[in-house]
Amino acid sequence: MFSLKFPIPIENTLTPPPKTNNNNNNNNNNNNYNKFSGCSYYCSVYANDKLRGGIIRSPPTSNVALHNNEASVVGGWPETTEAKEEPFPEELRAELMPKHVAVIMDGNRRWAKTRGLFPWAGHQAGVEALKEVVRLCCSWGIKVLTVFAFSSENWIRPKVEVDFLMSLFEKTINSEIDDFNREGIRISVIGDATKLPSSLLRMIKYAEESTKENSRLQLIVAVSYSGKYDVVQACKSVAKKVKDGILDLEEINEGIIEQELETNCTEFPNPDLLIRTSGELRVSNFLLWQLAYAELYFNGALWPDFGKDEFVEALISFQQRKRRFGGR
Amino acid sequence: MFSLRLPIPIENTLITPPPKSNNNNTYNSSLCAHSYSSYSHSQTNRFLTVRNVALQKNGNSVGDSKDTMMQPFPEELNAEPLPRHVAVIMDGNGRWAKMRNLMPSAGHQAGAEALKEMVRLCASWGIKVLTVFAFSTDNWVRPKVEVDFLMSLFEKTINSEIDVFIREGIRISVIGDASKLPSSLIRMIKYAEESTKENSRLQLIVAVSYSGKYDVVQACRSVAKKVKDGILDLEEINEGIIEQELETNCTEFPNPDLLIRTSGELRVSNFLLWQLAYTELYFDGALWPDFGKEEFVEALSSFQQRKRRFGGR
Repeated sequence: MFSLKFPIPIENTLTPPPKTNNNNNNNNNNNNYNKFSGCSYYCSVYANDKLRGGIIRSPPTSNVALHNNEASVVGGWPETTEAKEEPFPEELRAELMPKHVAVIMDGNRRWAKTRGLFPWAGHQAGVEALKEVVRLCCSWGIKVLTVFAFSSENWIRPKVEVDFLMSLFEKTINSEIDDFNREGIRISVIGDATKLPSSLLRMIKYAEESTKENSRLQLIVAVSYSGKYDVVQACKSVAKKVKDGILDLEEINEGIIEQELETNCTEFPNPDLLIRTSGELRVSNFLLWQLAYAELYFNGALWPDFGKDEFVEALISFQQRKRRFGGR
Repeated sequence: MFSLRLPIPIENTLITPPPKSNNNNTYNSSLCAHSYSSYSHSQTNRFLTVRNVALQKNGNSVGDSKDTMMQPFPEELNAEPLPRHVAVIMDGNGRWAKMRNLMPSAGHQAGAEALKEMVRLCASWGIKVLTVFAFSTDNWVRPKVEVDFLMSLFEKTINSEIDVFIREGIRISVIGDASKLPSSLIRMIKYAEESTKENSRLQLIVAVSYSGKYDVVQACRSVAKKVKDGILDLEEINEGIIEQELETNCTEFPNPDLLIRTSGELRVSNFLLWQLAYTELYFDGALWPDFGKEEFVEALSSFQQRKRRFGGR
């Protein structure tokens, strides 16, 4: 199976981060992070370079300081450059790392609700959690990270929330492109583009084009996506090829379908590990075909609270799994 | 989307269970009268747990005694919501046997007994569809002696259960790639499906030589053929079209509400991939032959506490 053919490299392929700061100095930046209670522990990571795996996560504070009920977005990577590369956790074995990790980032709204905030504050905090997981995947040699940002079924949510999310995606992609290029991250977006605002579509195309040569980590963002949508569009493509005489009916097999799925944008389309936060035990129409042999990991933390600790636990769990792929 | 069009009914679809007997011993003792008598069980009126199985040679089937088919509805459960369709990945037979220094075949035999119990409970409690993963397309790589034993076990078990199914209103359907199955098993399957097709109390779907990917591929082939033959336009292909071609089109309720996987593994192993889109997943550490009424009640109780949102608020 896929994950068995690719040994995980253990050499350090990281390029040293640049030493210059961005606009803000360190103090201001820490204050910005404090605006998210869910980000309070990020400060301890960046401030203390002696911290190893197993950060003690401070509980969410009740006095979140938000301006006008909006959390300010701190774009890009943290300012302390030595913190960008996260040392490989001692609890993990490099040769047992999953090549492709998928995440259902569930719990943003509940996170906001428990703090008396609007849902979009939860989504904002969720973006910060995603940036952290991207950083960790980069640091630890994971090759593909696929995240479920917006499902086909999420279009039924209140318009104000949907509009905010579309705007958040656009803003976040825009603010991250430079960092992605610097860090060797390639971004791909899968899903039904026909429903997306044209400005977001343009931003996506630009980001995909700008980062397509990057090869350290591929971040696949599923927006307006569902596993069923993916199979339907693959089936349509296959049927068209048969109709056009390019393909015979008898040639249709698993490989043919897989080539048409939207995960054909990556060399490693099948997640080894799926993480779902917030405690729900279901896959919610995410990568249905691709999850056939994925190890599933469910965490009770709400997505904005999912950080390095939780990710290490998920990876530890993965490394203990016995994968048999139907055999003995 | 498909799953949104089928809201899970909250009305009680159960057949009214028989009045609870004050004398629980009736159930326990009559259960002991047939093959379950070899299972050790606690002295109290708790649910039977299957331990050291010493299988009887004649392998008596469920419902030999008419009294034993109906199992009273558990007090721990609410009448609603109950899953309409339960799916099970019956994992752990091999390990169960290994722990007892038995051949894998003994584990599969014990697993068949656990399945009979599961069928009985589903029929008793008003679950409409039970789909079980008996043999995956990926299992063909297993040792030939084990595969041959399994094919033979399927044939024998179907044969021994047909009369019970007919009497108890259970309809059996088999899904999977029949082209690889022994012809005697195929004949037995056809006979069983034909004999029970009018039954409507519980539909037992047995997935043999099946996988979720196989199902999608064959559905896609069917759709592509319809397009090629001019029966269907490309633009008409949607989720409903695919769903009609999946092998779960043998039932009115193709999407499981609850998936149970035993033996502690946390994966779906290429089972019903499309159909599991909004299924609540439940993982139990028990090995399949040890999965009994108590464990099933826990799974159903867990299901009843789930908050299903289908992508909305």
